[in-house]
Amino acid sequence: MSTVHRRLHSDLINSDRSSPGPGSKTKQGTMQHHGRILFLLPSLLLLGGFVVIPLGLGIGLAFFQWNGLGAATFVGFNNFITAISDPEFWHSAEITLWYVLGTTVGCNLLGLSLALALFTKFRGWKVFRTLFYLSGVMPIVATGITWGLIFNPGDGLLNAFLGAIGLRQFEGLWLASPHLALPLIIFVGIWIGVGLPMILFSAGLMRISPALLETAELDGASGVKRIWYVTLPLLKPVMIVTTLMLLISSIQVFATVWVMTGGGPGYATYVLGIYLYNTAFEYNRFGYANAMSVIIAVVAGLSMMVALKLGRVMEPS
Amino acid sequence: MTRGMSFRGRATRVVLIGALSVWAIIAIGPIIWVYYSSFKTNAQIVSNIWALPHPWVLGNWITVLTSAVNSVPFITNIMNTLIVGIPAVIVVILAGSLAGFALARFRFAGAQAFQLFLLLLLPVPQFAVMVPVWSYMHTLGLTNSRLGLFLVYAAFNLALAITLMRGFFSNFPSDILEAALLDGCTEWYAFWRIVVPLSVGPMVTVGILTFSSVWNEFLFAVSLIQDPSKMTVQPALAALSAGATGQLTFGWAQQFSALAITTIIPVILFLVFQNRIFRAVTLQVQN
Repeated sequence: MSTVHRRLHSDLINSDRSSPGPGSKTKQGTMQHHGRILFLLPSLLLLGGFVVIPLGLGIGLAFFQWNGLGAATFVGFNNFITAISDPEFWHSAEITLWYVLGTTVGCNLLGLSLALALFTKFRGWKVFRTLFYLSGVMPIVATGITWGLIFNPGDGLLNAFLGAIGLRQFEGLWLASPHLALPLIIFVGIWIGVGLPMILFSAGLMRISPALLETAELDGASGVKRIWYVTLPLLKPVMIVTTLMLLISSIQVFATVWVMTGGGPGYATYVLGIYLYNTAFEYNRFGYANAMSVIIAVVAGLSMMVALKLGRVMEPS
Repeated sequence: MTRGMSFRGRATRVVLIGALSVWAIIAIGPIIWVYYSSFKTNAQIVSNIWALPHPWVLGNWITVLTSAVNSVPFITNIMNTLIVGIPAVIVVILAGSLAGFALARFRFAGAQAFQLFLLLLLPVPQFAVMVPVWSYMHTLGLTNSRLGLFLVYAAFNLALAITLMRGFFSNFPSDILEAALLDGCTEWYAFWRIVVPLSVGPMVTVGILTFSSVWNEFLFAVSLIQDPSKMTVQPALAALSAGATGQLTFGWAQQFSALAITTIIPVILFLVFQNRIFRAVTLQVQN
């Protein structure tokens, strides 16, 4: 409805009726048209020159073997075939998937709980909201280094603290442990990402009519029941949005792993971003790295479309 | 009965605020720890990593900023980020507003395709464009170049700016525009003289978001620039850190100071403009 409205408006604005001066009707029309290209030109140049062309080149290079310096050799679909049978690629895809699942679920649950708690509007809730969002605005490199210092097995903050309060037996290897490294990196991912879903759930809660909640209360629904049967179903559209945004942002994971574990110990936190970086800039296999980039971009794009479709199917209920 | 209820209400409230406080400590404890530790000496940190400074020393920040940490002083890395970032912010605001206005107000061939392109760009992870972008910039001779990094930042921050500005301009009052066009203004003139002065708020929001994103950016920065004298803030910070090896290239105190210096700008920007940022975030979702 609103788009139709907007169209009508812009038609009105752009129609010849709006350009006075009877003699120069056509001339003014063309002038306006030239003006319009100027509006889009800077963006088209930037996006074309530094997004579309590089991505096109990347797709092209995916069919070549190239060490980043010399000439590239055409190898057809070889790079793609290599990727499919490359255990390291599948391993990093699996690690990334665990990370994506862990942070998406974790951020949604924690963000929803925080939003519900803030919604009681106790004195000072806005201060808490600010504090909870703050972790998300920190540079990710700085966040990773800070948590790295906390979970450092040697002289990190956590072990020092446990020792000081007499819980030496709980001191751990943390990031140096192959079992704990990935869960800890997921925890840091939640620490970084929880602010956004919290804000969106808060905004969603504000839009729920208070009358509805009052009716439920009068009907004798307890706090928990009210949340489960009234609030949560109404927050479903918000949850679809937060889930999409969290999926998009969590698959990006790179800097935290880079500064906290470098992908280790062993390959315990070897996410796709790290593998791609190493393939290109450590092993100088640029053609192969481009091919993996294409696969990842296509899979990400397709998953997005599927997720949007799923979201649309689920939304009407 | 009522007394019982209110007692239960109060009890839930206490539990609730207790739980919130626990997360609040986890959420900001580490940040506070970094800040006060940046005022300790190395000896103080080694003897007790979580104690408050005693006495407080103020020299660490200056040391990090001015003495060569990774062969160049940290202030050089900050200057590099500003040299790359400020022009990028300006270009993103201008180009994003122009295109956002065109998408919101004009009908033109390919508008739908253009918006679909912006949407499809969204889910592609940045590390999946890192290698193609590097290959391209390398061919152009723009790796190890601040100009190259500026162009990449301007281009990759544009999609969000266009989306936000389009959202804003589609609610822009039509009568003002119509009046201007009836007065014989060209669309171009009307945009600069009438629309822009009324759109400073959203343009500032786009500027803040873009600047934060550039200041915090790591992936393009670390892949496109190797020369330490051209390195921006985040790769320099990562190079200076203990990293996976656990070996500090520099003292603990300097490590904490570098962390504090790097985080203070986005933190202040957020604290000052939080309402604006919350609004932009919620708006972006509604689109």
